[in-house]
Amino acid sequence: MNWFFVLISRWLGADARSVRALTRAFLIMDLRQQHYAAATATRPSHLLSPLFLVVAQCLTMSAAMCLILLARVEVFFFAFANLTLSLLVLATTIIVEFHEIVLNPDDLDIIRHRPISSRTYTLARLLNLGFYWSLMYLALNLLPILIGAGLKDAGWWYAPAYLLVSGFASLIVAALTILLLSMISSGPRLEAVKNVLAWTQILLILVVGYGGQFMLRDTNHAVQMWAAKPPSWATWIPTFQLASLIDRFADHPRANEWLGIFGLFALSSFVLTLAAARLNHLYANMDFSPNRLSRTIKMPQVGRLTNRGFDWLLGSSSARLGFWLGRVQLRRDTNLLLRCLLPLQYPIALVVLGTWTGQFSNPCVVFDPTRTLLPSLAVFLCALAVPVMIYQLAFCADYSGSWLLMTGPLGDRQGFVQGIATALIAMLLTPLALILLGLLWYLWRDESAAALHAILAWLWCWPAARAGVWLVLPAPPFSVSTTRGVSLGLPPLPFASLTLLAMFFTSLHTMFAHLTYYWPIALGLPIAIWFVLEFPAGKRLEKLWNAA
Amino acid sequence: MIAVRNLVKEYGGKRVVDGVNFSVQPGEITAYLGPNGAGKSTTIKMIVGLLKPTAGQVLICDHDIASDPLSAKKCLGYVPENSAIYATLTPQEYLSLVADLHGMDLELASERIDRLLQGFDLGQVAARQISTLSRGQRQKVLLSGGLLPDPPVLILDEPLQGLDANSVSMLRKMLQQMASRGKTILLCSHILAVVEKLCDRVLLLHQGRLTANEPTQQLIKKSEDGTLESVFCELTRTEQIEQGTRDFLQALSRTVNPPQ
Repeated sequence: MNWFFVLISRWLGADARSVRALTRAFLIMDLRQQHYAAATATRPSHLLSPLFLVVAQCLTMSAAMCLILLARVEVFFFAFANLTLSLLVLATTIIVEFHEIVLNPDDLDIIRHRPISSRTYTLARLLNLGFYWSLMYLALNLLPILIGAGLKDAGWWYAPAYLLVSGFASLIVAALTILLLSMISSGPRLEAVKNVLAWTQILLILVVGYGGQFMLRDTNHAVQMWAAKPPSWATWIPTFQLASLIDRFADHPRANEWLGIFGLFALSSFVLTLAAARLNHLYANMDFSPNRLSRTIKMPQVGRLTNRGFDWLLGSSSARLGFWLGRVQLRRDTNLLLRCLLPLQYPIALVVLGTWTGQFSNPCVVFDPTRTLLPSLAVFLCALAVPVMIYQLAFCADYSGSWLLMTGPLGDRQGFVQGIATALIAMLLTPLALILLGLLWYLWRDESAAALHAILAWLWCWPAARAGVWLVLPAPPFSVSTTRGVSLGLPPLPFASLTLLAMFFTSLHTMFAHLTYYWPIALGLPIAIWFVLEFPAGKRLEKLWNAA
Repeated sequence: MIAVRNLVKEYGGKRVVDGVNFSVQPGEITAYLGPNGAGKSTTIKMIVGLLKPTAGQVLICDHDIASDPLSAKKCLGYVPENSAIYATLTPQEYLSLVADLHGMDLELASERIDRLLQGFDLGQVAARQISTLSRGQRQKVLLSGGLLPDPPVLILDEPLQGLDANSVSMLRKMLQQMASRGKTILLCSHILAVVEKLCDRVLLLHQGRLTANEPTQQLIKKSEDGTLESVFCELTRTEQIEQGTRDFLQALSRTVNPPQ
C-alpha cells in the first residue's frame, strides 16, 4: 500500500512523505477542534466533535427523507429525492462548514516557507477534504442504498447502481464546489455565497421536515402523482437524469447503462483534475489570501459610539455600549449574523407551508385548531429563535478581543448584555415581526388581529432573550472562537424546556385567542416574565464573567 | 547567503517597500530594523516566499525564491513574528511535521527534536497542545521549528518576543555559535540592546527605503550618546513625534468628569 501511495504521489509530482505528514497533521487538527461541550460547560466525558454533529445532521436528514418516501414511491423518485438532497447538502456543507479545508489562508504563514511544492500541498488538502467527503457521502447515501434496496421494484442491481452513481455524482459536486470556491476566492464574495447556501440549507430542512409531514397527511397523493408523471421541465434537473439511470440500471444493466456509469466516472475524473489544477495554481501563486485591504470606517465624532437615535431608549451607558457592540458585530461578522438567522427557519417554514396548505387561519375568528395551530405556533417560534441567537452571540470571529470586556470596569453587565439583545431584536426580529404583520394582514384581511399577533411575537422576544441568557448562554458575549459545527451545539435540556413552554403557550393561544379578555393577559404576560427573569439572568452573567 | 535586489512591494498603488537592496554574507548576523509600518515584515515575507514582490529579486544560497522556490526554501529556516503555528498540534507533532516537510532523516530528526525540546525547557509540555502553552513557550516551539532542519540561512522575525531572560541569553549564544559555524542570519527585532550585542551589521528601513546599511559599531560611533537607540531615533524620527507627545500629555493633565 505504501509503495502504491509513493508511486501515485510521484506520478502526481508530489512528495509522498510531505503529503502524508501534512494530511496526518490536518486530520489531527480537525479532530482536535474545540468541542462544543467545552463551551457549554459540560463535563469532559460529554465532549462531542463538531464534525460528529455535522455528520449526524446529514444522517438525520437522509433518514428522514428515506422514512418519508419508503413504501410511498418507486425506485426512480426515491433515488431522485435522495440524490437531490444528498448533493445539495454536500455542496452547501463544504462551503459553509469545510471551505477552509480546501483554501486556508492561514496555511500560508505556517507552511508556505517550508520546502514543499504546490502539488504536495494540493494533494494533502484534497486528501483532507476526501476524508470529510467520505464521511458525508456515507452519512447521506448509506441509508438510501440500504433502505432503497427494500423497495418493491428495486432489483439486485439497485445497490451497486446507487453506490456508483451517487459516488461519482458526489465527487463531481465536491470538485465543482472547490472550483466555485476557488473562483470567488475569499472575502465579501465568499461570505455572500455562504449566506445564500446557508439559506439553501434552511430551505432543504423546510422541505424535508415540514414538507415531509405534509406528505404524510396528504390524502391526494400529490407527490406520488408528480413522481408518476413528472413535468417536462423536471428532465433538466441533473439528478432527474441520474435517478433515471439508477432506475434503468437497477432493473437490468445493459450497455447503455454501463456507458452512463463510465461517462460519470470520466466526468468526475475530469472535474476533479480541473479542481486540483486550479488549487495548485492558486497555491503556487499565493493567490488565495483574504482581502487584507480594509475599508475606511468613519465615526461621526472621535471617542463617541453612537447608536443613531436608540441611545435614549437604552438607558445606562453599559446598555448603550452593548447595543453598539452587538450592532457592529452582527454587521461585520457575517458568520455570526448567519448563525443568528438560522433559527428563523422554523417560523418562516411554518408561515410558508401553512399558507400553502391552507392551514393559516385567523385564531381570533376561526375556532378550528387544525387551521389555527400553525399561525399560533409561528408566533411563539419567533420568540423561541431568540435563545438560539443568544447562544450564538458567545461565538465570534473577534473573540480574542474579549479580554477587554472581562478586564474593563463594566459595572452593569446585565445592562450590557441587554443592550446586545436589544440590538439583536432591533436588527433581526423587529423586521421579522413587521413582515409577519404585513403577511397576516394580507392573508386575514383583519388589521387588528394581524397587529396583535405581530406585537405578541415581538413582545415575547424580550423575555426569551433573558431566558436565553439565563439558560443557554455558554460564555460572555463574543468571547469564544467559532469552530466547525458550533451552531449545532445548543444545550439540549434547557432548549427542550423552552420548546415545551412555547408549545404550551401555543396551545393556550389556539384555544383562547378568539376571546377578548385573553389579549390583555397575553400581551402583559411577556412583560411580567421579562421583569421576573432579570434576577436569574443577572446571576448567570455574574457566574459567566467570574468563570471567564 | 541572502541577496535582495531592488525589491519593491506595492499595495493598491502605494509602495510599502521601495527598491530595497542588501546582502547578508555567511557567518554574519545582520539586524533588520525600522519603525512600525516601515515595511520590515513585508520585506521578510517576500524574502521567505510568503509574499510575491511587485518587482525585484531574492536569492537564498544563490537560488531565486521566485523561480526555484523549493531549492531556496530547503536552505531556509524562518521564525515568523505573529506566532503563526498549528496550535492544536503538540510541540512534538509540530516538530515532526517540520522534519517530514524538510525530508530529514528520521533518526536525526528524533534526536534533534529531543535536544531542542530539552534545550528550550519544553520537555514537560511536549505532549500538550500548543494552544495551551504560554506565549513564551509557543515562541520556543516556533524557534525550534526554525532551527530543527539546521539550514544555512536563518531569518528570525521578532524572535525574542515573550521569551524570558534565560531563553534570550540562550538564543543569543546559540545564534552566535551558529554564525561562527558559517550560518547566514537575518534578525528583525525592536530590542535594540540585544541587537547591539549580537549583530555585526544593521540595516535600517524607514518608509520603505533603506536609510542605513553599516556595521553596527560604525553606526553607533555616529551617535551622540553611543547607543543604537539614538541612531535609530535620529534616522527615523519625524517632527510630529515631539509635538504629539506634548499634546497628549497636555490632554492627560486636563480634568475631566467621570463617564456616566
